[in-house]
Amino acid sequence: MLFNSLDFALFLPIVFILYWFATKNNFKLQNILLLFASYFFYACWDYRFLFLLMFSTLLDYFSGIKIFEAENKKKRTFWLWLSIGINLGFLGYFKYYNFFISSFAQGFAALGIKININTLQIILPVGISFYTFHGLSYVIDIYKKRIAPENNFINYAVFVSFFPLLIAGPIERATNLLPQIIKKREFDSSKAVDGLRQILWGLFKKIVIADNCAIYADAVFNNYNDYSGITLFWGGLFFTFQIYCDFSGYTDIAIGTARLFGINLLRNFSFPYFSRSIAEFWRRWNISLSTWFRDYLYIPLGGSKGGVWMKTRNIFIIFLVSGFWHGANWTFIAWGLINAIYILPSVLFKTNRDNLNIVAQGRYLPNLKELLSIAITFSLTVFAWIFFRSENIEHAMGFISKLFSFSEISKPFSVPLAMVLLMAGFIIVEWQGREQQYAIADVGSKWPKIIRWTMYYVLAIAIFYFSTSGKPFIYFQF
Amino acid sequence: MKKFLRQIFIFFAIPFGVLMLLLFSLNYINNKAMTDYKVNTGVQSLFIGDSHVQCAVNPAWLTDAVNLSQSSESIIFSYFKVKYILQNNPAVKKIYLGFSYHNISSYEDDFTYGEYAYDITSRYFFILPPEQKKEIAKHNLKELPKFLGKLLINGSNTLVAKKENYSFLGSYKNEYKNVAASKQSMDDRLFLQFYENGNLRGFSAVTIEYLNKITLLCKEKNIELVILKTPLHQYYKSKIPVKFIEKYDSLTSQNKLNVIDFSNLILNDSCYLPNGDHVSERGALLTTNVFK
Repeated sequence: MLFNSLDFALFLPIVFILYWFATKNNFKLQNILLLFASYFFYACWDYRFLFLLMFSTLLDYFSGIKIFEAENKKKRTFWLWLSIGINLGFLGYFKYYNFFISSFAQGFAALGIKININTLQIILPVGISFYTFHGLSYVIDIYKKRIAPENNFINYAVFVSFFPLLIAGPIERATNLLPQIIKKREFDSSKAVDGLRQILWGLFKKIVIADNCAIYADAVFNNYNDYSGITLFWGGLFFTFQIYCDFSGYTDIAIGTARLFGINLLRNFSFPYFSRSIAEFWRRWNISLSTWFRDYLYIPLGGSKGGVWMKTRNIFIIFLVSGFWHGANWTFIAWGLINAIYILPSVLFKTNRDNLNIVAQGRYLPNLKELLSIAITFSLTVFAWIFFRSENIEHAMGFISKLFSFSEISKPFSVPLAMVLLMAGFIIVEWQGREQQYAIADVGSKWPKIIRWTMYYVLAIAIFYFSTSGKPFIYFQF
Repeated sequence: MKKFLRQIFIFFAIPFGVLMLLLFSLNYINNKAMTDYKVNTGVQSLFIGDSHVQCAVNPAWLTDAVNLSQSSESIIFSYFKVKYILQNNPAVKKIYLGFSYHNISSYEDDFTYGEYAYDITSRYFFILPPEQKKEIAKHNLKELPKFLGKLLINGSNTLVAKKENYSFLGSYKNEYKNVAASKQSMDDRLFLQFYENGNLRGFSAVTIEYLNKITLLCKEKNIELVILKTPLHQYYKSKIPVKFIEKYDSLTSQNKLNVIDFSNLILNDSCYLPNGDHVSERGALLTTNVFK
């Protein structure tokens, strides 16, 4: 069930009404309802993989208790590694098996040794990368004695499978979400209205901007050989907006939906394209994943402590793993590698903690230095996205060489003016709202209701009109 | 909570109310435009059908005819159009109905209840009887937003357009000058019209049903119905699966239909569009001349 589908438009109000009325504010009943709703939501995609989700939930639930109850470190470590091993084993099998086996065969083929391989016809269970990371953070936090295990299975299962974040995050932490699940939630009208507004904005970003950018990005990336460098530049730009609006749109819908149920999820995007450096970009893009890798991989490896070699090693590890997390393809690894190269100087020269504030805070416009920094960071990001979008490394390299070459023989490509204007308008709205949680959080708060509602209607009509494309979210494949 | 739900209800009720009001108004306006539609004085013959007829017959070269065909018009919609026009236009004595092999293929159903339905059915929705409206709405549920959008645009067209441009009517259109039939396009076209996933398509039950209805209607009203098979490129014609040719022949003979068959005319390539089943402007000139 996609957020941008009629099914979800029916599902959400039914669960909302049952949640606040049928369960009569009994949070235990509410949690049971949320769990059933979440499993139903997941089963709508493929009920067979529901059992995998349930197994993973049970595994981490019991591992958490066993780690906590273990009398000695050896036992604690055993249960921790059992959980990590099985979770990553499933992830590896479903997501990476074919990649490893075919890369292995290609490696031998390059040495002139031909080996027969058997790849598997397996479907990637949707959301596996996300719920696996939920579970891992939970058991690691118990092992590190940051939290105590949750003894109520229903509560824990809701934490792992809460439907707004089940498919594509944000990757929640037990420290943030579990305390909200185990206590009574009160309905807060202003929170719910804000949630609806965020859902509306998320749908607009996904359906109106991302899905329309996708049409042009796909046309250019799929036929890059036919187009000139300037057209490829537009293709890269369209994809840059597509991926941002697709993923942050999904996150807005997830956060907004959770707010309707009185639950606050972690923020996942903070206007990343206004970043003044790559380090700032990574503090603002997919925040829940970046901080996950920071807390559970980067810091345990030593973080930015130690010498140049250690810092460099840690940066490359975290970005390569992060790239690989996105998918079993060398393009994602290359994308991670490029970002590691981008960010490394700031870590070595200790400038990565610069720009912690909001750009041009309290001002309408950035100064020249800020503008230049934003433009450079943005350009570097667009370049890296080429690898992310390409089918394979050859595709990416071909695209890049064509991007910087001049050819007189190329298909004409008329830049879709309406789309460019829409993107320009979108940037303005995002810029004015950059101090908020999401761009339209505060837009029109002082306007008369009729004008504010008119704005919502305009967004809703645009969403409604474009909503039948029904394109799935990009991050579903991760 | 009550305040929140009340606000939500009002928020959704306003556009819903406005939408309903618009739809009812457009329904009234379009119905009235259809029932009040009068052909120009002197017009005795109507050309009805899809893009094949729309491209083939230029009424500007004829004195007593009007071409009300438009692209992708299924026979079901032609039937309702004819029904209304005949009610209010006693001068009309003859109907040329475009009907060719592709019309009986299930491919035609894609325009009525399938992939392209939201676009095509939204042109005719308001002039259809309630039963048909229900059926069309049911099949458009999946594409509801697009269907509603098209419905509002096509419905409003009646308010601003000249009568020959009403969404449910249609007129002669052919701007194809320097074109020629191409084998590749003809193969693609044949594949699309007569095959699905490599297998031969079935017949369109809706087309067959409404062909019978239109025949009965014309008999009832004492109108001469002539089936018009527009020119087909010889290559295209030679590749039409036998199943469809046999079915077509049996339908026309069962209904004792008078057929003007242009499909055996040998025209040169420049008289056709690349797909081989539509004529170019030059082809239209040759076709229309027959009716002079």
